[in-house]
Amino acid sequence: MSEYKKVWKYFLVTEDYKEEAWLREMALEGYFLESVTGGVHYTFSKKEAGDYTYLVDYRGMFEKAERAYLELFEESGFEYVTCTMGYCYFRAKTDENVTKMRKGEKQRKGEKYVQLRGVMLIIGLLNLFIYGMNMIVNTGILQGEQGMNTESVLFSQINLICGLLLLLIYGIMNSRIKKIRTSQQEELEQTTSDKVAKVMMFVILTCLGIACVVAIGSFLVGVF
Amino acid sequence: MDEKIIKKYLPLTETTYYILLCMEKPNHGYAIMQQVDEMTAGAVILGPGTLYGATTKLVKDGVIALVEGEGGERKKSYILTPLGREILKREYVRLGALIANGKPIIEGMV
Repeated sequence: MSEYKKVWKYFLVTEDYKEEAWLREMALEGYFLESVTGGVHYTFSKKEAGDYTYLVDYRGMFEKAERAYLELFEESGFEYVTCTMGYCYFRAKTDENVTKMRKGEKQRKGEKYVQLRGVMLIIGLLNLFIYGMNMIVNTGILQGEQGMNTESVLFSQINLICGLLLLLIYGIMNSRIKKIRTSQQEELEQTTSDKVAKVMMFVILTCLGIACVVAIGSFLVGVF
Repeated sequence: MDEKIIKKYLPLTETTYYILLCMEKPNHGYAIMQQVDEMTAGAVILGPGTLYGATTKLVKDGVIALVEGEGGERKKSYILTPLGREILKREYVRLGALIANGKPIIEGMV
């Protein structure tokens, strides 16, 4: 009977090497990745422990894993594990060749940041735009004192915070891309800015959480 | 010939240059990875994800084309299009000029 282990874990988009290293450690303990749900819930099955190298390849959110794509990894010695939310996971017994292949994927990881950087910028600017509109419409600039809507104004501070934080993350990703293009290192180490980015993601998620609770709360109050 | 695409690709990145070099004749994914490794004595390594991403983009831009597998082979092969050949030739001329222009100065250095 095989035994399963489920783990909740969250990696930031810039932490691919950290994720791969963690999956390798799990394999060393005998836990082999089976599937990933929603990018945060990992399922492992218990097998004989071994040294396995993982590759996490970003395909793009709406790309399907075509047969030719999977075959190329197979030919290169990698076993297909699973694909989720635009990410595909591959595994191979660690050897010289596999380590070399992994080194050859650095550029690819850089491309991923370029794609995601755009998303951060758009959502960030959108948030600032919503904040700006809210200030204009609800602070009574147009309608005078009567048009003031204090609740909306307070509520929109969340847009301001999220917008600014997302723009900061955009900046961090920018410097990361530059580093990837210029560094000769095989792997990029975690920098302080990555840790800062992770904390910021948590702040944003918390803000959104609070926003949801407030929205649902005020809705319920309105109903009853 | 689409000048816009030629301009977009020149100067070629190291990776793209070697990928294109390997596609003068129909060639498939894994063989390209091995040839680039051999040609550069391991200095340029292509991972499978990198190669797949690059070829997808090159096909979309019409720099290379898919070749139907011969006989029972259903493996995808790629070959340079006339546009791809033009890009590679221009890059070769560009690189040659770099070398020629630098030669008298650099070889005179002690």
